[in-house]
Amino acid sequence: MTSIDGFDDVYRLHAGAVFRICLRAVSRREIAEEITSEVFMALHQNWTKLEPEQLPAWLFTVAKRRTADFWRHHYVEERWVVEQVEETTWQEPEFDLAVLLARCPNLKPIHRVCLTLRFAQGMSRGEIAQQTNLSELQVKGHLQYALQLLREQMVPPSRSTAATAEEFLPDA
Amino acid sequence: MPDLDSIELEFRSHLHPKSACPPLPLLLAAQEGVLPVEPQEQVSQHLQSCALCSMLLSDLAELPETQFTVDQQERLRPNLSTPTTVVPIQSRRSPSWQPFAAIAAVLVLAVSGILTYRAANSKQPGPSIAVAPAPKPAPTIEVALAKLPAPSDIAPGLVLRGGASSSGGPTFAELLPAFDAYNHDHYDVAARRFTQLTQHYPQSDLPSLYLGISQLFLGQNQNAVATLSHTAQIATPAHRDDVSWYSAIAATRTRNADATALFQQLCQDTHSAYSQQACQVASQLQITGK
Repeated sequence: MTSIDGFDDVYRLHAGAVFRICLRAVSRREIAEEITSEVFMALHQNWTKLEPEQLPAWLFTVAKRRTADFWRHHYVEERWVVEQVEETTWQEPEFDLAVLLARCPNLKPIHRVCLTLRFAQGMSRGEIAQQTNLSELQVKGHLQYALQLLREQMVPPSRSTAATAEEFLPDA
Repeated sequence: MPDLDSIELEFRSHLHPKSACPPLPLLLAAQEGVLPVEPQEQVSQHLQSCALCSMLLSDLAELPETQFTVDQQERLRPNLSTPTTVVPIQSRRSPSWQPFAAIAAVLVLAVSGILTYRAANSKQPGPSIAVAPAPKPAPTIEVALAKLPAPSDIAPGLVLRGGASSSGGPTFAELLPAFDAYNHDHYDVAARRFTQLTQHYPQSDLPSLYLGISQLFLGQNQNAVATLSHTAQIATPAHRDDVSWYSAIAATRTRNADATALFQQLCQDTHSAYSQQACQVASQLQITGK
């Protein structure tokens, strides 16, 4: 393998896409970086066997395979306990978050993401900031605005609150 | 007015109790189809019945994608171009390698630069998988791009009030959003905001300088050259040194013939904070140029 320029070109062209595939699949930046690095190591090792037209599909396939390997070994760390229910005292009236979100057309995707990560996924504002590439201050602002809109929808139970989320979701 | 914590607590107390949704990493992994068979089926089934999780995944897809920064690219690449010297993954996870990474990166890149130059000049044909034939490489090395910290009076956490600026430049309040994005490595957002500021304040060197640096981090090297060359014309003495350093880096990246001279100038400037680094780079450029 003497064509260092060629390898660098391929790396520059596709490293970003490979990294994003890995990040989506494993959700952890440092692991995604390692897998990206491994993918291009594999490319380096297979350089002479590959044809140009096999790229970038070959890279994406290897990335997927490596992320699947990661989950095979680490699934236990993120195991989902289905029975788990939050130990919170609820007050009447009760609302389904999905229903509330569907009732607020003014909410943008970023507002719904912040709310869902906070109240359904139980993330801290810092974790949400990391997940969404925002600052913690921005996350706070989005939550504040979104909660203000949602609270306007929190009227006492009536026929409408008994409705399901599907009724409010567009094209659902 | 109640604070956000109280509002959240009150809101949470009204939310309907439901069984827990899968953690986000599992949702995303299931969406990519990379989970082992059993959890993949469980999560997929959950997604079919949970409006909230489906909405979350579709909303996340609407958000801007995570940037793969030039910094990341440079950090990973040395390990790739010299596979025999790659440190095993387990040890790379340890933070102890980090202090040596910059030195190693410069050395490996310098060697890589020399090899590249020699390979390009040798008559031996090599296997080619390149997308396009590389242009004749000018003598070059890649200089590690370090982030210039935001000015100390725009440090995070400092409360500033935006008043009219006496110098005709942007106010603190106008600069803050751009530096907020810059400080969080959101260079695409920072570049957009700095661009707006440079349009409003074409004679102000601060937004222009940081726009150039953001463009370097985004790999927009030609744009960085243009921005920093404009900045050099309007730079105040306080920023001239930084402008020269980042201009030299931009010149190297675009294989500009003046790159070596720019580093040599900085090298000879004893007042420059970059003098020592510039001398090292200039000498590497001279070696590769021979």
